[in-house]
Amino acid sequence: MNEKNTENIDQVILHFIQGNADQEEKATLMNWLNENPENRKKLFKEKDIWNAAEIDSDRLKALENNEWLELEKRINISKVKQGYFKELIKIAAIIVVALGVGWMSHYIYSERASTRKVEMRTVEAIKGQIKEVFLADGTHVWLNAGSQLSFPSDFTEKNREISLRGEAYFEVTSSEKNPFLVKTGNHTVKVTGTKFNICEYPEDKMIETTLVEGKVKIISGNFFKDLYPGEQATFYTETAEVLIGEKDFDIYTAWREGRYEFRNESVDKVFKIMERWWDVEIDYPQDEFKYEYISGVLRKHKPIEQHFEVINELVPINYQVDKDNITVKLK
Amino acid sequence: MKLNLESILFRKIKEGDYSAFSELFSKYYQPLFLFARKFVEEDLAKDFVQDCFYELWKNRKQIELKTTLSAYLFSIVKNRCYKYFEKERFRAGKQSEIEFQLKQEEINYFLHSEKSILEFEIRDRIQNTLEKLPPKCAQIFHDSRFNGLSNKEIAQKYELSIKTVEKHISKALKIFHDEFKDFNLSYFLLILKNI
Repeated sequence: MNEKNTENIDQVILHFIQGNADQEEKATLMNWLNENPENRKKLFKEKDIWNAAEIDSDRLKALENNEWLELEKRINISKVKQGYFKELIKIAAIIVVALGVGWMSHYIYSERASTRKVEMRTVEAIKGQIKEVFLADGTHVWLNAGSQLSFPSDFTEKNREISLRGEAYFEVTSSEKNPFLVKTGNHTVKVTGTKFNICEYPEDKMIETTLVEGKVKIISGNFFKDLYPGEQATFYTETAEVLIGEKDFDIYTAWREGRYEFRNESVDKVFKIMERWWDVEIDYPQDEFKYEYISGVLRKHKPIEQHFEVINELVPINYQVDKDNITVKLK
Repeated sequence: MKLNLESILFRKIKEGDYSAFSELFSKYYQPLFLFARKFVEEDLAKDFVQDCFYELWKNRKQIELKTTLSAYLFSIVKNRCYKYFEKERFRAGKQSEIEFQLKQEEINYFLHSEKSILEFEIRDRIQNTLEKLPPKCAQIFHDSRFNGLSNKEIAQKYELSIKTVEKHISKALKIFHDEFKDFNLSYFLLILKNI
């Protein structure tokens, strides 16, 4: 190839990597590539360098930022619906009751209405406590800190009415023959022999029902959904969205042993749990901590300071303890 | 050393460490995107790379690395691009256009014979090289690469001929080329080195 041609091909290469080569130039390149296998190296390496030179440009930094935010959104949504079964159902607010807080409210199906006067009894686990309760029918309930459970004095297999505020783990003894039915107008939740956890602290703005064993059926008009072991239904109280997904239920039930496991949880939420468990007020800028995600374990028998030390390693913070008031700031 | 740091990073991610994941993202997002962008349109490139990270996080517990993190991520994006390209080519019909042929050559090149420099830690080197360019050359390269000016526009801006502008850009590329000369990009050599 003479010098003139070499110069020409360099120009064509430049046009090509800049994305400006016309048809004729592209055809020239194709022929040139077939002349010698080494030519590929020259062309594609040159283009590779041209591409790579853009790295860390303002445009790409902005793109990277945007894409990270998008990715976070995607991960956070799927946090609740991860696993093989994904479903997003928007349903009317009335289902809240049927789905999650069914237990919290008061519609219980019974074969014959009781005419006796029944009084409600309430057990409360105050902040800093975890309580275990046995009901008359053998139902075993663990109450997490800052929760209330109300049940009728004549609580029997034929008349089960429970209301819950906060978080509780239930081991219900019931059967297909003698189910727990939670009714709200047209909406029914049917429970047969079940271990499950419900978490509905109002400040979390969501109600999580996690099924460990047994079956729960959610019925609303023509919407039917069975929850199977390992599945979790999350109801967002503000948007009335329900997400159903597979969950590692150990994480959601370990609190009974004074251990709270969390994975990829916002610091905001972790602080709320700490407030209930150690009965303290944590003062922190909520907006700043909302997007800091951490994983770890809270152990109730350990001092709260120790937990702040661990959090500090994940998200650098300054904290100050003044009796029951703790002030936390991002470093 | 590099391998070690990377395996620590990956172990953290497997354990659910979100900040390790974010570190991985900032390290590899741009290189992966720039690589995908060679073969597909911008929006698709964004999708491919985001999916890659999303899947990694979602399946972090199951993923076992048999190679470096970098090689793993790049192989996923490469395959996505390749599959997409194959589908497009099929759609375009038998007498594929010259664009397809060139793209095919490029994909084959990076799939089978050489690595892209994007697969290496090149950020500092790129920055250093940009700073090393002679002033005029740097200005012109900058306008062309980052400000998206056409060669004609640059020529007008500096009152130069288009040919001179192109010479400056070629010169800049030559300097880059020399800077990355010592990179062993061929797969064969890398395999030998790893043994």
